[in-house]
Amino acid sequence: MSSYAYLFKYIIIGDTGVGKSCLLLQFTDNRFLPSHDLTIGVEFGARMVSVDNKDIKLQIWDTAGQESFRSITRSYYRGAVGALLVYDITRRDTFEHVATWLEDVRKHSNTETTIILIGNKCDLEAKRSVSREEGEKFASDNGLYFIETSAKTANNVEEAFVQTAQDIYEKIQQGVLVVNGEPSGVKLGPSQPGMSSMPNVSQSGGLGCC
Amino acid sequence: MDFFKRYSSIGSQQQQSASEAIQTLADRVETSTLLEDKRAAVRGLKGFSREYKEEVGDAALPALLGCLKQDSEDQHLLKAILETLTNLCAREPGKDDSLSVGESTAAAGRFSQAILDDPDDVISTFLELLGDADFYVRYYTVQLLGALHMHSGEELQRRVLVSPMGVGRLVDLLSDQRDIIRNEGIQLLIAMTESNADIQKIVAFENAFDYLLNTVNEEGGARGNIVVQDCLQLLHNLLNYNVSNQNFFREASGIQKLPDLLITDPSQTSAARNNPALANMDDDELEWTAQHSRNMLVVLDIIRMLIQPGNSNTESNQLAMQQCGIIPPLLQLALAYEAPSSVRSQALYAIGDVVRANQINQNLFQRILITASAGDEDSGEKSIPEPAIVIVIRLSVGKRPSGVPANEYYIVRAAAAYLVQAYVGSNPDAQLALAATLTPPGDSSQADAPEQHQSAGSLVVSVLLDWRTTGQEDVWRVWYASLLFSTIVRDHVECKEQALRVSLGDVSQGEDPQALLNELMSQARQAAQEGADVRVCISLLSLVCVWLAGFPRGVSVFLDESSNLTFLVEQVSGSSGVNALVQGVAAFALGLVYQFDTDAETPMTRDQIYPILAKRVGADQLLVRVQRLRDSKEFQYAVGLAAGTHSNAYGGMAAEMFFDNVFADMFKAQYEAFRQAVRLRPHETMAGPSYVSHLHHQAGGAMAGYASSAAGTGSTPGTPLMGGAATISRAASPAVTPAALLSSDESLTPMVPKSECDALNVRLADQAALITRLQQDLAQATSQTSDINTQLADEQQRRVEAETARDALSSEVAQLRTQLDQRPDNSQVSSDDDARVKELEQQLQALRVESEQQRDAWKGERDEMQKKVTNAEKQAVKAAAAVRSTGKKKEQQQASALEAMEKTARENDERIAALVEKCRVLEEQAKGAEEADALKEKVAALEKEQEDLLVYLADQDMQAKEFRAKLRGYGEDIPLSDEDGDEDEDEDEDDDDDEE
Repeated sequence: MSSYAYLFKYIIIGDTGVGKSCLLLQFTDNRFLPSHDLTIGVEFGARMVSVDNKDIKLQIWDTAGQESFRSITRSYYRGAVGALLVYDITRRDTFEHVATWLEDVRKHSNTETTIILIGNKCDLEAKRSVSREEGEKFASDNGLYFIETSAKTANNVEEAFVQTAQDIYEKIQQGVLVVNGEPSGVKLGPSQPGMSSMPNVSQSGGLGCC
Repeated sequence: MDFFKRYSSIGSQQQQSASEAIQTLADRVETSTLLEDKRAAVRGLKGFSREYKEEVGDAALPALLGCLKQDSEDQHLLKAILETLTNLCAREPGKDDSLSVGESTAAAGRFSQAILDDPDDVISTFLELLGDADFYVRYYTVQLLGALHMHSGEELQRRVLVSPMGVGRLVDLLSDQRDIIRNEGIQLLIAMTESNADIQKIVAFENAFDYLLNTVNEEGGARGNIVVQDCLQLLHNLLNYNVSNQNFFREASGIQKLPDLLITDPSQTSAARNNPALANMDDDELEWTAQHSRNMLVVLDIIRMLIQPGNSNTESNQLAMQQCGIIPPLLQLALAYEAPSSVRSQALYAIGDVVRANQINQNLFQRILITASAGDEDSGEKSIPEPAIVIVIRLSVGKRPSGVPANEYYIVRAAAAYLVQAYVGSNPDAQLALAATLTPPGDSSQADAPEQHQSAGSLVVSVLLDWRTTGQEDVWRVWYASLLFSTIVRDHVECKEQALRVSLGDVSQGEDPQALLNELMSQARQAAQEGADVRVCISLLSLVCVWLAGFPRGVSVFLDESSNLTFLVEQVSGSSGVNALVQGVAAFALGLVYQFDTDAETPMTRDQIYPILAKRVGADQLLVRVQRLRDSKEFQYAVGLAAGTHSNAYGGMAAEMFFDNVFADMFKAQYEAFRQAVRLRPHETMAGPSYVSHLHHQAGGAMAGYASSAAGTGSTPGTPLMGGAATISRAASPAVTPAALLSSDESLTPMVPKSECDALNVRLADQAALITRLQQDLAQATSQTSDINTQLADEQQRRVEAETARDALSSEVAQLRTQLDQRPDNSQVSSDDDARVKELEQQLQALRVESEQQRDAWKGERDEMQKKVTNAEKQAVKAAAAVRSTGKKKEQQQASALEAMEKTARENDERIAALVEKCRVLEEQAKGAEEADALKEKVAALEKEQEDLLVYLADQDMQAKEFRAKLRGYGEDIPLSDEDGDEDEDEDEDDDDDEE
C-alpha cells in the first residue's frame, strides 16, 4: 500500500482566522472552503511528498488559534519536527503576534524543529497590511524560512510544506536530527512496503531509555 | 512503626496520643532544617497514614506538599511523601483503619481536592516527577495521579492539559521497561481518555498507537494476558468517537496491523515469524480462554468502531481494511466452531460493516470462496470450496454446533443475517443472484441431507418447509430463514417473480405442482393448527407479507389457493385462542391481499374479496388487529431493530424477537396507505403517495398514461355509443403538456360546490317525477282519445332528449378524465391512476352498451306501442262516438288536461336545456380546476348524476312497462315473450348496479 522512506510530524500554528485549516485542506485535499468552521482543539491531516526522490509521509496537526486552546496546542510542540507559523498579510495584528508564537514554539519544541513563517492570503493584495519585506526580515532575523501563500488559489501552498520537508531531510542527512530518537517527529517508514509489519524490536528498542 | 502501633492498640487514650504524635511529626516536617529529621518525620507520618488517615491528612497535608516542592531532589524523602499522599488519597481503607469505608472515601476526597486546589500547582510537580527514573517515585506518582483522577477526573484532566509536557509524560509510561509502571500507566491513560477528546488526540500524537500495538504483540497478541486487553481498551478509547484520531490511525498504518490481531493461531501471524516461541505453542494453548475472548471482543469492537455506518471516514476505512486483507481472518473467526458465540457473532457483524453500502467490498466478498474447515462436526468428507455468502447463510439457518444452547447460538445466527443484509443492501445484483438459488430442495428428506450440498436459497427454503424438524430443534433456524427469505425478495420485483416461479411437488410422480408461496402458506396454517411455536407461524406470515406487498402477480398466485384466504380470515375473525401477534400479521396479510389484488389475471377480483373483508371480517376489526400488532412491544422491538437503535441489531433479547427488521420496515412504509386501502371499495382508488409509489414500483417503473379522445365522441342521439368508448385508447406517449394546463389553471373559477350538485340532482329528480306524471297522463289520454297519439310521440321525443343530455354528460365525464390524465401534477401518472381510469372507462362502456340495448328495446317498444295506439285509436274512435254523446263537458276536460300537459312538457324541455347548460358550465369550471382532487370530486359528482340519470331511465323503463300493462288492460294483446326479454334486461341492469 503506502510505503515511504520517512515520516515527519508537522504542526500548524498562528492566530485564529489566518487560514491554517485552509492551508491544510488545500494541501491534503486540493480544496478551499471559504467559510471553514473554527477549529476546535486539533485536527489531523496527512499527505505524501517527495524529496530527493524519496517518499516522505507528512502527518500534520492543525491547531486551534484561539487563546483558550493555547495550552492544549503546546502539547504538540514537543513531538513535531516541522512547524508552520502562519499569519494573515491583511491583518497586521496577526503578524505582530508572530513573535509570541515563535517564543512559545522555541520554548516547548526541540531545538532542531524546522520553522517556516507563512504569510497567508497573498491573493488579497489590495488589502495587504504587512509587506513581503517585513515578513522576510523577521524570518531572516530569527533564522526561519519564509514564504507567502494563498490557501485560496493554492499559490505556494505545496512549496511551503515541501520546503519544510526538504530542510528536515537535509538535517537528517547531516545527522543533526536523529531518526526515531526521543522525542522526535521523525520516523523511518515501514521496512517492507505493503507488508503489515509491526515496528520491529531494533526500531522500538531505543524508546525506553530508562 | 512498632512503637506507634503500640499506641494505636491501647484504646482512645492512646488514640489521643497518636493524634498528638502526628501533630508533632507534621510540625517537624514543616520546620525541620535537617533533611534527616524531615525524612524521619515523613516516615513517621507514612506509618500513621493508613490507620490514621484523617488525622495525618488534616495535620500534615500542607507540610507534606510544601516539603515535596522544596526538597524534590531527595529520592528517599520524595518516595516517602508520595507514598503517604497516595495513602491519604486512596479510597480503599487501610487494613486496620479506624474509619469506615464511607468515612475513608470522604477523607480521601477531601485530601484529593486539597491537592488539586494547591495554589502552587503541585500537579505540575507530579507530572515532572513522572519523568523521574526512580521506580518508586514513578510508581507512587502514577498511583497518586490515579487516586486523584478517581476523585475528580475532569479536574485532573484539565490540569494535565495545561502542562505542555503532561500528556507526553503519561504516554512515556507506555514505553517504560518496567512492566508494573507501564501497566499502571495504561490504567491511568484508560481512565483519562474515556471521554476527553483533547487528551485522546495528544496521546495519539505522542505515538501511543505504536506503543500499544507493540505491547500487544510482545504480550502474545490477542492470545495474551490482561495487559493485552488493557492496551486494546486504551486503543479503543483513543479511537472512539474521535474522527481525527481514526484518520490518524489509518494514515499511521494502524488498520494494517489489525488483521494480525484476529488470527487465532499465533503461528500464522507475522509476529510469529519474529518470535519462534509463539510459533511453537501447543495445540492445548489454542483453546479459547475467557481472556482470549475478551481480547478478541475488544479488537472486533475497534474494527467495527472504525467503520460505523454513516461516518464520514467509514468508506476510506472499509477500503483500507479490505486492502489489508481483514475479511479472511474475520471469516475464519466466524467459522471457528470452538470459539465462543459472542466472538463469532461480532466477527460476522464486523464483516457486515466492512461490506455494508460499499460496492467494491461487496463485490469482493461475492468472490470469496471457502473450503469448510475440518472443525465442521457434520462433515466427514472433504468439502469443495463454496462462496462465503453460502456459508454465512448456513451459519444463520443451519444446524448449530452440539453443546451450544439455542438461545446462545442465536446471536451467531443474528450476526450472520446482519452480514447477509449488509451484503445484499443496495446491491440488487447480489439479491437477484441469491433469489436465483431459491430452488426447492432436491428430495423430501432435506433436513437430513447434508447442508453442504444445498445452495443458499434452497437451504433457506428447506428450513422453512421443514419447520417441524428444524423448529423443534431450534426455532431460530426457522425465524432467520424467514428473515433471509424476506431479505432476498424485499423491494425487488424480479426477485419476487423469481421466487414466485418456484413450485414444489414432483410432477413425474403424479404430484400436483404447488407454488412455493402457497406451500409456505399451507405450512403456516399447519403450524397454527398444530400449536407449534408461535414464531413459526409469525415468521411464515411475515415473509408472505413482505413478498406480496406491492406485488399483484404474487397476490394472484396466492388467491389461486382458496384455503389461503380462508386461513387468514379464520385467524383474523377468531376472538379467542388465537395469538394476538399471529392475528395481527394475518390481518395485515389479508389487507395486503385486498390492497394489491390488481393483477388482470387474478382468480378472485377485489369485488369478490371485498364482501369478505367488509362484511365477514369488517374493515374496522381488521384495522384494530393490525393496530394492536403495531402497538405491541414485540413489534416495537423489531422497529427498533430496523432503526438500529439496539446495540446489536438482529440479535437483541431473544425473548423479544418475534418480528424481523425487514417486516418492520415494510410495515412502517406501508402502514398509512394500508389503512386507507382496506377501507376503499373495490373500484375506489386513493391518491396517497405511498400507494402510488408501491404500485408504481411493482409496475417496474414503467409509466403509461392515458389520453382519452372522448371529446370526439359526438353523442348525437341514435348514434351507437360503443364507438365513443372505442375511441378511448391508450396513448402512445404519457407526455403531458403541463404548461398549457397550468395557464388554464391560473384562470380557474372556483370549483362547483357540492350543494349545487345536490340542487342539480334534486332538479333531475323533479324532472323524473314530471315525466312520470306526463307518462301517466299520456297513458290515460291514449286510452281515451286518438289525439293523444301525437302527445305520445312528443313524449318519446322527450325521452330521447333526456338520453341526449345523459350522453352529453358521459362525454363530459370522458373529457374530464382526459384532463385528469393530463394534469401536470400527474406527470408521474402511475399505474393506479391507469387502473382507475380503465375502471371508469369500463363502467362507462358498460353503461353505453346498456343504454344502447335500452334504446333498441325502446325503439321496438315504441313501434309496438304505435301499433297498439293505432288499435287504441280505432277503439277510441268507437268510444268517441259513444263519448261524444255523453256531452261536451268531458271533451273540454280533456282539452285542458292536454294543455296542462303540453305546458309541463315545455317546462321539462327548458329544464333539460338548463341542465345541459349547467353541465357545460361545470365542464368549463372543471377544466380550470387547480387540483386533481377537485377534478376527481367533480368526476364523482358527475358520476353520481350519471347514476341518477340511470335511475331515471330505469324509472322510464318501468313506466313503459306500466304503460304496456295499462294498454293490456285496455285489451291489447301483448306477447309475453317481450316481457320476458324485458325482465332479462332488468336483471342485467341490476347486476350492473351491484357492480357500482
